[in-house]
Amino acid sequence: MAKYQLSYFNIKGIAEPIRMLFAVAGVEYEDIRIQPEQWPSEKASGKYPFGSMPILVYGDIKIAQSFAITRYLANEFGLNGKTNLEKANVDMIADALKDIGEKIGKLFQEQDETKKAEKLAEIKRTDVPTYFGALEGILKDNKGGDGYFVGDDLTWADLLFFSQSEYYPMMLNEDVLISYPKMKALRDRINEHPRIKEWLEKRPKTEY
Amino acid sequence: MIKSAGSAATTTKPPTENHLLYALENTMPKYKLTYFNLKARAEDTRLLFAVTGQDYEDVRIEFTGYPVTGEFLDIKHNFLFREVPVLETEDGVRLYQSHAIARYVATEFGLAGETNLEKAKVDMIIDSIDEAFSSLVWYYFAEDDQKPIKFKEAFDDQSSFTNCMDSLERLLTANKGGDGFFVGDKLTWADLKFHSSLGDNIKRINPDYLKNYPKLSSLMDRIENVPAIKTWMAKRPETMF
Repeated sequence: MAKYQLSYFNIKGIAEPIRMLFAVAGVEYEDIRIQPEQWPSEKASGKYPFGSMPILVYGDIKIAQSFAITRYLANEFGLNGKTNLEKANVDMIADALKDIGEKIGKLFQEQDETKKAEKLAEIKRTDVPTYFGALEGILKDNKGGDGYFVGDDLTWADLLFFSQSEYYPMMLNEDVLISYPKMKALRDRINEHPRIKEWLEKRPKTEY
Repeated sequence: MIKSAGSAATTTKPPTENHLLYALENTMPKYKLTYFNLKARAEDTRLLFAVTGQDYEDVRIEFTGYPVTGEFLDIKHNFLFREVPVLETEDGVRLYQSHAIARYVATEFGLAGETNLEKAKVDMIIDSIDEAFSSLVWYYFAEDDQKPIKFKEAFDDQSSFTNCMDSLERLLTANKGGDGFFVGDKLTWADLKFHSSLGDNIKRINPDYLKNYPKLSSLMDRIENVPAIKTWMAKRPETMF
């Protein structure tokens, strides 16, 4: 019986929403973590369609690109909305989270402390209100915002959001969600989800 | 702003500044796509509409370069993430994010892959193409004296762009020899995204490079010979990229 195999580095990063998806769905998988020194030979082996990770292997099936993997599994497990429109809204939210996540991540890589502080102030003034304001609005428009981002049930967009939110205090020097109460409550709600709670307790502890 | 119906390009005077108000004042077409007057990240959706023969309103915001100036800055507050494209439908749907839009349209018309697995393969190819496309954007936006550097960065043997093209050629070949399409037995969004984001631009700025990729080259020809696409390419506006 084939078992899902997920390969990525030993960090949370862009694989963590996938790991959380497996956890919520209660589906077993092999959580393969490649050490940095192993990666060059792994990459050269030709096993990876685009020479990148994460990658999902399931029997003959091999899928690369984190969102392609997440969406595939979410569809398999019923965690991607019910209609084409709901799925499109999930995609939109995921892509927006990716955009703001990349802007924040890029800032975090700035070495010069003064420049970093300036960029941080700028992002808190512009991109954070733009994206988080929009996402808070989307959440509120979904029956008041006390459920999930799309439809009536958890989707991978909620898990992606939760996973990213783990980085906000570290990267933005504050819990930015305090200004976005519905999103903050969603984060807290996911944190209490029994299967997520279980995963958070047992997953390898990594800084990133 | 240039506003065209799917079948005839006409230039009309700009609508009121409030883009949303304008939409309410007029009869809503089934689909309205608003983007810059570029191919870039909306052309795959335009190609989807072309190939399915679906009429839509093709609204184009003036684009004069990066950083963006002019018309867009006046109206960007109307867009949820201050970005375009946006797809609006007569049912009141307003959808942002280029891939969310394209996937929604592709799925409505059965061009996103047949099974969940085919859809995942399409998605994987889309995401990889989009990453590679960024290299070309940097080339287009570069000052003239920087262009040769960006050109080399993109098309170098060992570049991430070349690695992606190598992977795409391999993937295409692995699909029943590579004389069809990227996924399954028919044209999908993945083929159209390749054409609009990569193939088309490579042909424009470095046509010899495409000769390194025989299967991708013949895929380009195959796509361009689809009558609806041929027609669209002949009449669409000329744009920076």
